[in-house]
Amino acid sequence: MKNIYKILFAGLFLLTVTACSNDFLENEQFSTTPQNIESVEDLKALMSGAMIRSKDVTYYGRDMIVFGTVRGDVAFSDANSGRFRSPAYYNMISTDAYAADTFTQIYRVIGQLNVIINSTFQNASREAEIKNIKGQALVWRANAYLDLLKLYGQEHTGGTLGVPLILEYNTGADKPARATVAETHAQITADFEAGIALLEESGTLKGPKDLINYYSANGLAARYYLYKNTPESIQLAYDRASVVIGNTDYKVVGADLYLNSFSENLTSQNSIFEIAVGDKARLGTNSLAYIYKKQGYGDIRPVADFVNSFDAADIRSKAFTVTNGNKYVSSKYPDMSGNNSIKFLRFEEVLLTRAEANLILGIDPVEADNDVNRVVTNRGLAPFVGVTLAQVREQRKKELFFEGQTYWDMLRQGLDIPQYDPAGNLVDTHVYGQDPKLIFPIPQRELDVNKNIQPNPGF
Amino acid sequence: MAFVMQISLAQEKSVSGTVTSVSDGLPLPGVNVLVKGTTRGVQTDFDGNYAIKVSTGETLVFSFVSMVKKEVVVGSSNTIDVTMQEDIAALDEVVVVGYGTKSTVNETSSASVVSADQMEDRPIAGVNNLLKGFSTGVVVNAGSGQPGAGSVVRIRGISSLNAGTEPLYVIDGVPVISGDYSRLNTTSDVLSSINSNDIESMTVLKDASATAIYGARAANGVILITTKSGKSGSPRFGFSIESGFNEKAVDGPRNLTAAEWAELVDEGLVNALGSAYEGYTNDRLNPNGVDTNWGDAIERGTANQQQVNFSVSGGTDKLRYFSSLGFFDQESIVRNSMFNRTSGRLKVTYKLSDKITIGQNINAGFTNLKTLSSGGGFANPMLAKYFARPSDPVRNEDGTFYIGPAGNPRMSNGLFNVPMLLENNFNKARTLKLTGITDFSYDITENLNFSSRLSLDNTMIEEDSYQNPLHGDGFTPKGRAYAYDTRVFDYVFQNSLNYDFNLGDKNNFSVLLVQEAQKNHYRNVSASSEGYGKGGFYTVSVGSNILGAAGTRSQSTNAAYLGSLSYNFDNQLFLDATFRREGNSNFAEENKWGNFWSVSGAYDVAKGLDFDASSVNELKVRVSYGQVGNASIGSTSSLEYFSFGGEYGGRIPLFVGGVANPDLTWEVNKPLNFGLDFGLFNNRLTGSFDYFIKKTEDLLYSIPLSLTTGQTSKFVNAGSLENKGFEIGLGGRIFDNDFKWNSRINFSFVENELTSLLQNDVISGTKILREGESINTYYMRKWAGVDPANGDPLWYINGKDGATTNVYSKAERATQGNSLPNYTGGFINNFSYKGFSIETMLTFAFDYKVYDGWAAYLQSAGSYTLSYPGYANNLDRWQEPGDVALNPKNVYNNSNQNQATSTRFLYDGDHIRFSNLQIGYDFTKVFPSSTFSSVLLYLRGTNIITYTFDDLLEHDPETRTSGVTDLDLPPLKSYTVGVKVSF
Repeated sequence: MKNIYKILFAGLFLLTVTACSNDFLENEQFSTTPQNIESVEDLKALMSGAMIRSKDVTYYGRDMIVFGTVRGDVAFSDANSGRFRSPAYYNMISTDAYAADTFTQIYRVIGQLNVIINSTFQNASREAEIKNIKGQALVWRANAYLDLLKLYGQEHTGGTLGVPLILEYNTGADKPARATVAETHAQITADFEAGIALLEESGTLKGPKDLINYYSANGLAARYYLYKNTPESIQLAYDRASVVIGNTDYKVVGADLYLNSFSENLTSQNSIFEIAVGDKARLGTNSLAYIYKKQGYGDIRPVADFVNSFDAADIRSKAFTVTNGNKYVSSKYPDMSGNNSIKFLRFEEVLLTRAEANLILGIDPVEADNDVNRVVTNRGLAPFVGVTLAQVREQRKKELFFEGQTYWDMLRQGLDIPQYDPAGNLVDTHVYGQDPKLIFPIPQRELDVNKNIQPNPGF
Repeated sequence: MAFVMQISLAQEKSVSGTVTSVSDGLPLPGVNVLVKGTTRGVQTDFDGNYAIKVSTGETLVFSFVSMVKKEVVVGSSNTIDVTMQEDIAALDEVVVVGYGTKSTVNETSSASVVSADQMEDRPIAGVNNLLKGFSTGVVVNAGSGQPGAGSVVRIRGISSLNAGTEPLYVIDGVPVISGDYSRLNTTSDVLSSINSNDIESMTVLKDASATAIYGARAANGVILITTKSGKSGSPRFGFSIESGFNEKAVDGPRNLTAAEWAELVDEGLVNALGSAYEGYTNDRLNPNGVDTNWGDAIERGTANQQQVNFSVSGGTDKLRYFSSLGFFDQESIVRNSMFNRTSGRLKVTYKLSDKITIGQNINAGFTNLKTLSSGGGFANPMLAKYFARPSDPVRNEDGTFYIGPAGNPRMSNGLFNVPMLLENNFNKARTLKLTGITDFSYDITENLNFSSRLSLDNTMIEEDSYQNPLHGDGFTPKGRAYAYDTRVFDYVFQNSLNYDFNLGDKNNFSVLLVQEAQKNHYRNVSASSEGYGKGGFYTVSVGSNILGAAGTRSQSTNAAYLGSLSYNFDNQLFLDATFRREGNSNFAEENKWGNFWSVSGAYDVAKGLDFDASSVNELKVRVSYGQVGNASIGSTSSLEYFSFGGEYGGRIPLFVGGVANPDLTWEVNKPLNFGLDFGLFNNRLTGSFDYFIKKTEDLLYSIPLSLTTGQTSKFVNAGSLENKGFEIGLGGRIFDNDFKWNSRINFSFVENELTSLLQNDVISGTKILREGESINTYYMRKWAGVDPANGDPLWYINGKDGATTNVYSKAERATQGNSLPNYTGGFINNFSYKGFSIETMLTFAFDYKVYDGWAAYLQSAGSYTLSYPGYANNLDRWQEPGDVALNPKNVYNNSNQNQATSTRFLYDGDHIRFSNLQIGYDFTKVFPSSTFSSVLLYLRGTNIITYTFDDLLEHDPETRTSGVTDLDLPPLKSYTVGVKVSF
């Protein structure tokens, strides 16, 4: 009996001594890994991570598209669920959640992209792949800064301030001030050009529709250069669009397939770039479908004048559905569970971009007719002969409505912006170049923490 | 062994006697009889008898839970019979399990004890909720009327910004898992699996003297829970059964009737769009004249409450046992919300030999919980009460639920028919908590004891959630179900060596050395699927579209060595010192280990001055100071990492995460405490007073980063804060004959101040962190009322007083009070006369503010009224010049920001609550029985009256610690009747 206790005692003592070494205080991390890039696969995974962050509801998953839609002359908010009231009614205050959330999310994406862009990882046998990934990251960073500039920069409100330019991932106590609009444009241009060059050098020009490739990079750059709206940039828009149009893999979708093309994920022939969502990462009640369709919240609805402007033969008017006399846009983001991929760049847009640049610069009216007619003849309309700039712009609006482009297209043209009440009646007009409410406030959260950042006036 | 003690054994003889209670003359079993200044002692048997070997001149100390301690000097007689008196204010001699056989509550400690009789049979699921009012220095926030809900406990204020602020729970000597581990349910608490009737005592440790021994996790105080043990003697049985019903403690804001809503909507539309809209609501929105009260539609007819408890305990001189079974069942006033618990406990100790005692303490608690959607969820019934339109019917004419048009089954304003969801959807959790504590104690010599304790604590939570395919969130995916399993496993291994010795006959020492290791494993798996055609099936694999599965794991460890020394001189002067070195896996390599300590002393003035027992019995001054720590941050805060999760078009992603700070180290907490304990007039008036200053340094602070970094915050050690205040506990036996009246008041004051922070004026939501202010300070614009001239909303331009503006953005924000009550307490009065007894308790909290988090929608002066009716107080609005009204002019879709955050929705939370009233009758006191020692029949009311001082506050004043209401279920008022028998 006594011996048993002694053994027990000794055993306990032994456990005591061994249990408390420092090893005991080191624990395995089961779902994180140290911040080291160890392979090309890691870089690819980081790029996938950047795209997942981009399809967040506060960025391209919903909000960014809605901002570009609910402002402008094609849509209004009926305030049914109370969502997007402040963007729709131009009454944001500095603590506005939409302004803060999207600001946060875009910089989160940029932080992730900076890790890829500045990575020193090398692998001699896979250099081309590394170039390709870095090219994607640069193009996507250019687009992210373009979005920040659109939302928070003072380009269209008479000011000169752009947004802080963060080019390295750094989580220190940095408190950056804002770059000017011109500096921000310069950075966007540099990133687009560097990214496109790397994608070209990588030798892999094509790829899946949910990753940026050489052609989608050119298409995005063309969109940007048109928006930038200087004589040089419009020439660049024309050139970049021509690169995309030169690739015969892309085709305008026919009238018979038009409505259905929005249900296709990553397969439609007119699609150049999409952000994949999919069933597992579906956006559910936070999706564009939910905010556009009656079966969901149905807050964002088309303005009556815009609906009435369509020719009866125009297949695009079939995107509108009517419930209780109210019209909704039901087929652009049709899936109510929100698993449609986000259609980001379509071939039709590139054609219309080139046509617009073409007419502005007066390059080749016949080519402009051809570009526009490739779209309209596939929409049930007669071809144009001698198409005008105004007609191209009207077709662009009718082609891309509710896809997050209209507001920015109007601003780049220097147009005043109408505001509608919840019944869809015109109640106010915001004067281009003067009204500070045309952009979003720099979030109060950022102003509180970062004393160097200058606020946007009027909030 | 190197120690050789010279203890002169004088003439030892055997003394025996009987211990009885003064109040009823009945024998007291289980009384501790200890030879003063030694560890020699026995307990009385079932008949109150004891026998012990002592020497003449030694002092016998008789002590028992909630009885006044009694000391008798051994004289020539061999028989010493003792009578003991009840002590309502008893703070000492409660059985508390500490490390090994050594209690961790010292004479120098600031600690409050709540004993079993105050906690038993109350219709409250969570043990921590029982502390409210009974202990000084403790604030308990239930936050929700969900039965079994998690509650927030704060001891002496909030001592951290971003690290944990919950106290450490120690059950039977072992730190346990506490908190809310549910993932599909809105709230839960693993401690709710413990039956409060199994608890012998709960001790709240507040100062360094008491907490330093628990080191790193003691910064927020420690709650020691000691469960009941058997006492030697023949078996004692206890049986109680209770049943009753629940209501809302506070009715809450009223919702609008159809007529009132129509009046408001029409007025708002006319004001905004013109007179064409007169009669719009009844003509267009409600042509059938429906008038639904959604508040009534979500409630049950009757919400039941019942519990049954059975226990048996007893023992021989070698074996002691306590065994219990309990069942507790509580329904909330809202359908589909309930909690029940079945629990069993077995606690056995066995003396293997003179030197060796082994013990096994096993507890199994199984709970069923059903919770509801909360906050802004469309399925939240409290949301439906105020957001649903009275013009929508609950049911169709045929009795089925009205769910809106086919194809888009929604109410007319896009919301859901919540009563339908309450009947067809569910969120439930089944929790099984199994704990086993194995004790081994070896008396190496008479004074030297080695103890080893191993605790295994396993909590399994199985959660299921289902959304029906016909209506609500489940409509689009054609039904949806989730199954989440979570397991938390914790083991604690403690070894302790305790040596007691005397130098001379008045210098008593006790030395304790402890090694402790703890490891926590967490893992969960989750699955969900959609597409449920046939009703009645909820299993994930029945769904046609399996959405996916997920699982995570984590583990953490800590290790500690501690030594403590207790000294007392003649039970008059007490000195304690503790040192603990602790390592925690949450920190980087160089910063894992921290040192914690305390020193404390106490001196009983009364002993030295030799007062008459009828005047001063005790007058003890205490002081303590020390350093404890806080490490409650995530295990990745020191790391820079990539994280995984999700997929992008079938590809595996990595995310940049983890803002690293490898320099991160322990937050340090330095509590200084001065205390005074006193007992006067034969201990008829007892009390204690404590004054404390608790400084927190190296605050673990999640510093907000510029959003442009791509991250939102980073953990740093920055800044300091201070909680200071005082606590008064006063107890008196006002009448003490046939008619007894015991009274006790517990009063606490605590004031919190942020003394420094790396970054000043950090604003988040409605709060600000500003040096010199409390860390719970509201920061918002100040409402200046409604302009009687035109009905415009007004705010003070400078945020305080003076000039006003009707432009929200022109008004400045300013500090507007804080959300944690500065004054709290309880007032207890118990009366008894022969068999009758009345127990009462009032609890109160003063000097804090409550913000109505949803008033922006519900009291919007027309902004949202058309879609979402809101509170009935919308009726009190400006209509014509000269009106002095609560709410501004009612204008549909106005954009005057009247409802934006301001003090308009900030209310004084000050309240007094009649928390407990029990009227009982003990039949055995009138009809003595040889079989039953007690047969008590009682009626009890819980939270029967709530008085608030701010007339405008309609929600329950007890809300979340944040102070912001979130459409939670209202706390419950219960009426129960019960029978309690012991034999």
